[in-house]
Amino acid sequence: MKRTILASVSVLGLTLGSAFAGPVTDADILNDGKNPKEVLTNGIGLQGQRYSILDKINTKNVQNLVPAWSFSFGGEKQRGQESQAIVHDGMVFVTGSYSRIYAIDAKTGEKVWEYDARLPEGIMPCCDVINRGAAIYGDKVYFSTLDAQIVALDYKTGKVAWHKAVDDFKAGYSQSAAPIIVPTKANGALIITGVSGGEFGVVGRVEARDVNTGELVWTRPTLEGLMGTYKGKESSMTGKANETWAGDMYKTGGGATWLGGTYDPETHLVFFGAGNPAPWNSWLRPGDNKWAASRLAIDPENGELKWAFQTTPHEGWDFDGVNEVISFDLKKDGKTTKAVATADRNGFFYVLDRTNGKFIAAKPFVEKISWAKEIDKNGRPVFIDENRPGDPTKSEDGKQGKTVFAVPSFLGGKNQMPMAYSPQTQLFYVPANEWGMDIHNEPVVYKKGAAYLGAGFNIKPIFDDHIGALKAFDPVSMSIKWQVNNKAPLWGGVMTTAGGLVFYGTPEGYLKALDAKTGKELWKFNVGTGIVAPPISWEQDGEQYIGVAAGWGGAVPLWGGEVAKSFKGINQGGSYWVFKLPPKSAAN
Amino acid sequence: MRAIGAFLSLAVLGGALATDVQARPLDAVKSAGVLRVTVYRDYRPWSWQEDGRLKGIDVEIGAALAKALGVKVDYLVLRPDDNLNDDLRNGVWRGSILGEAPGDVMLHVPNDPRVEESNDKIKLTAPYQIEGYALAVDPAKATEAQDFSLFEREKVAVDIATLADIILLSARDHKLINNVVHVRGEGKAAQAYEKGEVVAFYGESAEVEHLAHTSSRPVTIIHPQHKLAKTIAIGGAVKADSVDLGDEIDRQMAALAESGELKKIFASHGVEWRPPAQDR
Repeated sequence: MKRTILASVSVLGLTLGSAFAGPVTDADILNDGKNPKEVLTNGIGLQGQRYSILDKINTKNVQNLVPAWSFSFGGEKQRGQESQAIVHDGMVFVTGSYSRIYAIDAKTGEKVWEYDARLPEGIMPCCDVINRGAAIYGDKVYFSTLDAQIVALDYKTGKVAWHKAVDDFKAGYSQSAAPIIVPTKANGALIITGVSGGEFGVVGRVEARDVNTGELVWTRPTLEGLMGTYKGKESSMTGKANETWAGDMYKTGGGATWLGGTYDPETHLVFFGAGNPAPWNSWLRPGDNKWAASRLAIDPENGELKWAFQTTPHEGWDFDGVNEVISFDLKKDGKTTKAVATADRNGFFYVLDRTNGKFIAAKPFVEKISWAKEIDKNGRPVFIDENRPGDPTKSEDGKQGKTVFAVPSFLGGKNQMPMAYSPQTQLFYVPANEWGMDIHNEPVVYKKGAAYLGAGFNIKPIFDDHIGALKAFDPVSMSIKWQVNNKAPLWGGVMTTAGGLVFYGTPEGYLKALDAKTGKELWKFNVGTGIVAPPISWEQDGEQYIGVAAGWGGAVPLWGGEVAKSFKGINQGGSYWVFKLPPKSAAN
Repeated sequence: MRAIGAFLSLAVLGGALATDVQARPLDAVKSAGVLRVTVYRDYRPWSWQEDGRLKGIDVEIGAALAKALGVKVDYLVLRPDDNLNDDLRNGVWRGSILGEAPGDVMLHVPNDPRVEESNDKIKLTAPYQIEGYALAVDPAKATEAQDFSLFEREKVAVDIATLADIILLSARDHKLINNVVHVRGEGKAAQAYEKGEVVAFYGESAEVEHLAHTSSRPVTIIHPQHKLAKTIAIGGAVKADSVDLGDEIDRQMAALAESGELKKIFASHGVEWRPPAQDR
């Protein structure tokens, strides 16, 4: 009933137009994805489907798409641009590398304001100095910075309203994910974030703050044995201490929530992925190590854990399973199930019941997976034991030890780049990568001047002609309907539209449009640098716009070896590109 | 990703950054009047901040080297990155991704030929200490600790994610895991010992000796045998094209050893100076 009312509010907004020029409300946020004039959330709707209801640009006319404007982020700081933009009040808000944010006139590409976070010395970003985007609510726009702060700015002026440290950057904490904003009954709208950290001992948690003041409302640690908080007081423990962890290792056991989360209004649950457990050497931490390498469903009212599902128990390959959890209606055998899907670093595509976390199905979305035979009927992987990395402490002195080839590589069947779901085709569009890794023990490495013990990894492509592959995955038959290969690894997210299209960018610099039903390439345009960000779409003055951030970087170029050959010569950059149909063809 | 990233052989992040740092040979350092020394941060007793001051063995060695060169000293206090190659990039030959200038010389670099082999942009300078692993233990329990069997029953503190940690977690076929108490930050292991929360703490020799010599609870230092608990030589590194600076640092380091200055610096922090063999 409530949802019906919200829907009618937004219809009113559509008619009046001016309703959009003001502060962003709960109803606006909840209705995002159904309102073509704005993009208010990371994921084009809190469920994260990345589906645009716009169809003015469609399979029949997309070949006419031309640039409308391009905006340079400026400066010398041209590194990976992984940000999804948001659109509100005639402005595009996009974050850039090195914790910068820009407000741009959505129609002309002129800069309205720019804010550069003053980053302190000694920050330690993990995987390039990227940022994945902003959130908007009321009269403020929010984003996270590399020194682990949340900054709230007046969206019209770019003036700082408040900023809060999520944690101590000196202790290795950092932030790069887009925050999400979730309306609650108990505490109004909350800004919900995870934590990321580059240092050993950083443990994952999800946190909710008052959207107006930044005051902490609740925290939920991801690892079993750790205590959550509600309004400054201990609330409840996540799981039970030492049930799936030995000793005190859960206190420093990883499970970082670095990619951010999604929200489903129907079940009123927030979904976050938790990363791999620490230390990486699985032989030192017996047990399943819950809830590292897992998906967590949290009640936004109080931070209580409602359910969790572990994709890789006793993880040992660095399958850092933070991957996004996307809500959708699974229509199978005449029945509709409130489901979620997630494509894990470990190479399997999972469908779960989102009301209770119950396992429905999992099948590979990449080829030649070597660490597990399959996922059994209870959702647990059937391990192939000989392909678990060996225990380096058992290796002979000074020798490299046995080499294991594991697929996928530690960068995953899918990494940070979000997939999309089309209710029109009922397919998921998964930006996947086909690569494996040689793993060998290294009895002597050095860290902070001291002798250490590690493993060497060498990422290798599986196929001669491609690493990247955009795959259309059917969550009903759990099979791949079509795929489009790409020489370099895919690292940007995907958007699908009611125009029957799938948009995604490549490291080679192409923004592409495919036919969502067949995968046939209908349009492409080279933006002059690699694309590692997800596209969006909005409508303005009756025209449909497509926007994407451009700028090669992120984790992929940090790794060498054979994979580097696939992206040799790609230049860095930092810009925002926007496309539309020329007036003539739009009139057609 | 990070956890495992720690051990990868990286293609250098800086490859795409256009700003290559100029060589700083000896005459450049002398004419500028400053020797920039890279030391690790939060690395007691080698280099750490206390009461707003930078303290420690490496800090004093850096000052002594600058004095010998007749120049002032300046420090780059380095945040350790994933591995030594990254640290050398940030601390010696390129500087950090955020634009901090690297040092002329970095201290506390393992004097291992493999380091030079995998880094053609740096040159190692002479070692000044032999480092190993040590256990500070309740004197009454030292005998049982010699083979680590004590920690199948009693608790031991260690800094998280150090080789000392890995040694404890793997020793005696992983039977100690339930009794290993992880702490973050130098000094916390000793505090846990003084408070009686553990019966021992384990770590790099210098750290353990330094903390033990000020411990209010009696302590015995022993060196349990384990195949991973090996000694390494600690030295410095300069940019590969700053050869004459490296040679001068070698000469001055030898002079500091000869004059007794090095021994004095180590002793003032409660650490035994274990001079490396001079025949490298």
